[in-house]
Amino acid sequence: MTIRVREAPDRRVEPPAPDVVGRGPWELAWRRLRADKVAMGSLVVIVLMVLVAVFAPVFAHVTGHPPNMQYHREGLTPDGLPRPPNSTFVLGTDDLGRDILVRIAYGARISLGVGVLATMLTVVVGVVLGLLAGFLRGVVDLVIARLIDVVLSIPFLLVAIALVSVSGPGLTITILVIGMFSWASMARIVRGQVLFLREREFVEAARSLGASDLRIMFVDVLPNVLAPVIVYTTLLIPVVIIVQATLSFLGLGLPAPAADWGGMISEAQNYYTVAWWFVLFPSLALLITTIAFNLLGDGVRDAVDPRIGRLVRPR
Amino acid sequence: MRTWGGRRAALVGVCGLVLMTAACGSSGGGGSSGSANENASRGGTLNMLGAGDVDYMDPNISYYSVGYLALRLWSRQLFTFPAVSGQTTTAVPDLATQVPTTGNGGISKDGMTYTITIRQGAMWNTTPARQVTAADVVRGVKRTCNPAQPFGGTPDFATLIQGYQTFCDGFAKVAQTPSAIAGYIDKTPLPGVVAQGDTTVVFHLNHPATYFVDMLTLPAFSPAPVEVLKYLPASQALGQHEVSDGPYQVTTWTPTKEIVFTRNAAWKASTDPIRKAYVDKVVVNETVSQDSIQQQLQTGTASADMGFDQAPPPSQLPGLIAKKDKNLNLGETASSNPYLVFNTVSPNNRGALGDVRVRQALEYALNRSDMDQVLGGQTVNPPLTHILPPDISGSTDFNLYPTDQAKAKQMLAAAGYPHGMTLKFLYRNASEGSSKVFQTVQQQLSNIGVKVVGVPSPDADFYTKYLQVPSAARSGVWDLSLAGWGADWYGDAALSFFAPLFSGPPSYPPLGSNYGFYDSPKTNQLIQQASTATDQSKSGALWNQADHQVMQDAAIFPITNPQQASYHASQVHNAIYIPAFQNFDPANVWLSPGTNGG
Amino acid sequence: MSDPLLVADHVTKTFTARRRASRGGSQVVRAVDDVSLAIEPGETLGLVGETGCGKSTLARCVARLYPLTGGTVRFDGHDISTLSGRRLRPFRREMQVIFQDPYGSLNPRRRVGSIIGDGLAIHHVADGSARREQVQHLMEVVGLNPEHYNRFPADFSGGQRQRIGIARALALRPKLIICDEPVSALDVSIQAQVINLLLDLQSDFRLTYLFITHDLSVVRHVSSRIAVMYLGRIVETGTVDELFANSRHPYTRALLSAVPPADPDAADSREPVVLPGDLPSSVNPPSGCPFHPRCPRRQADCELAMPPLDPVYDDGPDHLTACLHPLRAGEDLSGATSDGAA
Ligand SMILES: Nc1ncnc2c1ncn2[C@@H]1O[C@H](COP(=O)(O)OP(=O)(O)OP(=O)(O)O)[C@@H](O)[C@H]1O
Ligand SMILES: [Mg+2]
Repeated sequence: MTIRVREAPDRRVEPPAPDVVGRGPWELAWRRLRADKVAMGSLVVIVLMVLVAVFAPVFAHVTGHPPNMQYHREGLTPDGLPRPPNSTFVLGTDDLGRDILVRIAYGARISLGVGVLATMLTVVVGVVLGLLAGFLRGVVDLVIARLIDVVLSIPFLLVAIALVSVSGPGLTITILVIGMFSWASMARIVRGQVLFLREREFVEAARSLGASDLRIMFVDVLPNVLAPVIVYTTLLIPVVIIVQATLSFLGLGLPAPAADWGGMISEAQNYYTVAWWFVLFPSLALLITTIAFNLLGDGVRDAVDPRIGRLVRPR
Repeated sequence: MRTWGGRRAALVGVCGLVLMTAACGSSGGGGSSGSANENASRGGTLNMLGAGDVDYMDPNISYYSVGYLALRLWSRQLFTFPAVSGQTTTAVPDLATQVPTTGNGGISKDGMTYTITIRQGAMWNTTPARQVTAADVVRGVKRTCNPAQPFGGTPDFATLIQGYQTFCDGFAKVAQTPSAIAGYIDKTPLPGVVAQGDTTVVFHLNHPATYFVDMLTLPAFSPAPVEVLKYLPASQALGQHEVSDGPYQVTTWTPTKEIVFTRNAAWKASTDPIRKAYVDKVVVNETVSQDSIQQQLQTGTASADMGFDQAPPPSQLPGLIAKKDKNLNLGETASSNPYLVFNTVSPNNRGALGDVRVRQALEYALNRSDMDQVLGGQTVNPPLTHILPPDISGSTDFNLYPTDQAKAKQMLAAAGYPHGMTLKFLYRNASEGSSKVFQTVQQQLSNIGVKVVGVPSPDADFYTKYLQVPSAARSGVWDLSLAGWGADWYGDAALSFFAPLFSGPPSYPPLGSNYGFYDSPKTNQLIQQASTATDQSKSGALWNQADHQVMQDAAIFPITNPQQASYHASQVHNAIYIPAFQNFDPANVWLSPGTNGG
Repeated sequence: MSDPLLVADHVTKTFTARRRASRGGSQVVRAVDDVSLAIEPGETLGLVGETGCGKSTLARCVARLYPLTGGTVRFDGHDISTLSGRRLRPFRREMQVIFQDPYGSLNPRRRVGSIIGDGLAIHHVADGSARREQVQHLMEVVGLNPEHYNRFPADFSGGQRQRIGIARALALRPKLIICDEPVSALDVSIQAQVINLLLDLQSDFRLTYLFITHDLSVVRHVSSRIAVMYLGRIVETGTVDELFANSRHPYTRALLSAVPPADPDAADSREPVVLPGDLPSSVNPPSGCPFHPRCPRRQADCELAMPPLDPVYDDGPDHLTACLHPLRAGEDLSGATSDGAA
């Protein structure tokens, strides 16, 4: 082999690429996602659900039925049974003569709101602790890893029920309890990724530039764990929505008369033989939303990084 | 009457459980009792399905309706309620030869002495069979306050029967052994209950009590043969060796699993006007779930005839009512459940609820029919507009506060609250019924500018942390809440509503159940007069006045007198619902020939 | 001669490697063992040696990416061996590293502009559009299209990526750049371009290089002096010409024999010497001279004493050799003397 050196300085510019702005990994992922029909369908459903939640008051306005208004004449039989879907109450009424359509719309606010807020809490706590443990190692890692093990070994629903019954039901406590238990899986995933990333040369490069640990963690390492975090997050939202609905179903949801899906399904239990619409529509809303999030999550996983296909599913 | 509270809480707890589901009772088909009894077929096995056991297999101690249901088969009382449609809350003679009156000399002129004669030929199934005697009645009454397991309802008559309190105070100090208990019963006289000769028993009361005959329907006053003294009262051993004077006897009892009753050879139909005893055998299976019981009763297998301790599941009640199932019965409970309590000592809103005008305004603002509707409709929850349910003597139908929200608003303004107020509503959020009533009240009161905020409570805390804790009421933890009440006996039973609920300080929690701390000298006086009246019509009128007075003072907002749902299989005939044990009378049903096996 | 820019003094770095097989037992790897060297301002010191001999570890030690096990590192007269965090940061500006792997050393999730400008941001040199301008200028300097500022590393070829790495190292105008095998991962056709770029930059920006490679033909063209490393130790140092003409250490001689001559037509075509055996493990280094198990000239005393790094024969103070039986000028590894001088 021969190396020809001392040639004329090579400052040749590479042939210009068609785009000036590079297609980053996120954009590529987005392109892959856009090609995924199932995921895009799910995304449309989710966006619609979000619109329903945001514009819940419009439903109340158009129907003229506030979410908590009881219609004892038009909305209930003399024996107090719900009325089936009709021109006044498109999806029928519940056991207090309230409009199920309007309540589902308002319920979407709670389901999605709790889903998003509790998931955000989970993500923030899980990512920060996972980053710290994986990056700093040592005692910090030891403590956080133990904590993760402990939290993962706790039977979540039982403890959640116990905590909520002690503190009394409410939105904040529901979010806190869910966040308190879901962060561990997230932290474990992030920690694993960071353990591997911290040995990469670009981390060393940043350090040689004089970057602090904090900067390296959040500027250099964090963007590289976002892919699994995003996938896990999309899959976590439906789990959180179900947990919130379960707590509500068990009477640990929002105090009456707030409308939320789990609570509506719980109220409908006693009427399933006589009022199918009462149990069906809130259940459908819950089912469609969670399925949409799950399918989107699968799509995002495939789009973002096929390698993390074996990622544990949120429990 | 100091321990009303504890006992009532238990009773309300039971009804409350029903309330937390769909409603306390249901509506629909009406009785199926129409079958002509001339065609009645004898024989067969009556299979009763349940999910639980009797409280005690001991007539003098049992206090729950499911215990009373089993006792109907093998234990007789001096007086009881007959399985005759329309008369199921009218006491008639059972062991007694007649209902005592002043006219027939059974009640003394002063109304304080009751002389009752026991039928000749009513026999215990001892070997040889033996006549039921007056001494047996005395022994039975004495057993009610035994130290091992006293009867829970003794406060109903502790100060009524002469010397009973003293007798019981002494009994409480006796060792909890069969011999010590037998010794005390044999040697210690009870001046208020005396045997005169073999079959005449005389009760001496401290004051007249027109309700006394109705009270004697309580199984606690059943006679007790000398044999039972060999065992501890209410013990399992006793339950497995009971001596019977009814048409059936307890053949085997496996607690929480099964009870088998077979015919009692010593019983003679001629001495028992109450029990027709058509079936040969009664088997109670206590290991079936509520849903499964209903399913079996509806499919009509020969091994499932009627329920034992379980009503139809609330989830299925609306369906059964909707299709007007003829095997469903909705029966009287003579209770007020739920009712809305006003916390008259709440400091909130400058003590607004202490002002009768505010409470009256709320009575006008609330719409009872809407509440009854959401509780399951007026078939299951007929409106109750006053204190006493219709089957209690002294009850008349009146409504002081027909819904009128405009008037309510005016009254509120006149009382100094033109801009309304905020009230805290304590309710059990796990109870569907409570939650529905809360939400309905919230909507109704918002119309007159009163904001209602919920104070949700777990079932377990509702009484123990809130209603029975005086400081919770006095510090204004709640302004409005829901409670329920049922009578211990039927007929002349107004006392068992007014004394524990509305009699001023003696009825305050934790001992009493006057959760709103209602205290009115006028009411207290009426209660005193009514409970010591000598004449039923007089006492009835006084109770009615007391009812008006309490409603005038707007102490509570009654909502409904709920109906109890019971279901039986199609092969069961002459199923008559008896309020005292909240089920069909098993001693009077008969089975279609061919489906009476199993 | 001016003061050296960088002085490494008895630098030692050991790793504790835990083996899963032997439970609890940990092995100490002496990756760098008692290394002393100095780099003068403006020069290029070439560091050569086989794979695994500790070149990268030494580079990371002097760049203070690893804590030292022993010895000191002085930069521009300051002892930086025990500094950390904030106190080290001013020196980080002055001393940059170009890494071997153009894939692993660029954060795949950051845009090129942000990678190159990272140092400017960390040291608050320039912000916003000023930073962008500087970065784009740097891109031009290293031969990248400045319009590709917003692209991701994945959009670039290996050579281009190494240019990105060079631009990043250049951004803070450091005095010293440590090039850890900057071209060994590149296509042969690209290597020369990158090396020429580095040479141009050196003269344009008055840079000092520590240039690590196992490729002697490269080192000969870029370096003014060479240090040869074997099993964590420096076995010989000297100027390029001195070493290529007159290497003393048998290991150096063996390495050089593998290099194709600069002038293919020259008659001086020595047979490449093939060393027997592999590089010994630095966990259990051989006793005495670490090279002795593979040395064709080994004698009995080689197993006993560690030879010091000193001038041998009539060498000047710049040419140091750690060998008990160094080669004489013209002496062949086989023992024969081509020039007759014995
Ligand atoms: N972090 C580490 N932990 C344990 N051992 C290490 C570590 N880094 C390097 N080593 C060991 O130290 C020795 C020197 O490694 P180093 O990477 O410095 O060699 P090198 O000369 O740069 O090799 P190459 O030419 O392959 O880059 C090797 O035996 C290596 O296995
Ligand atoms: Mg290396």
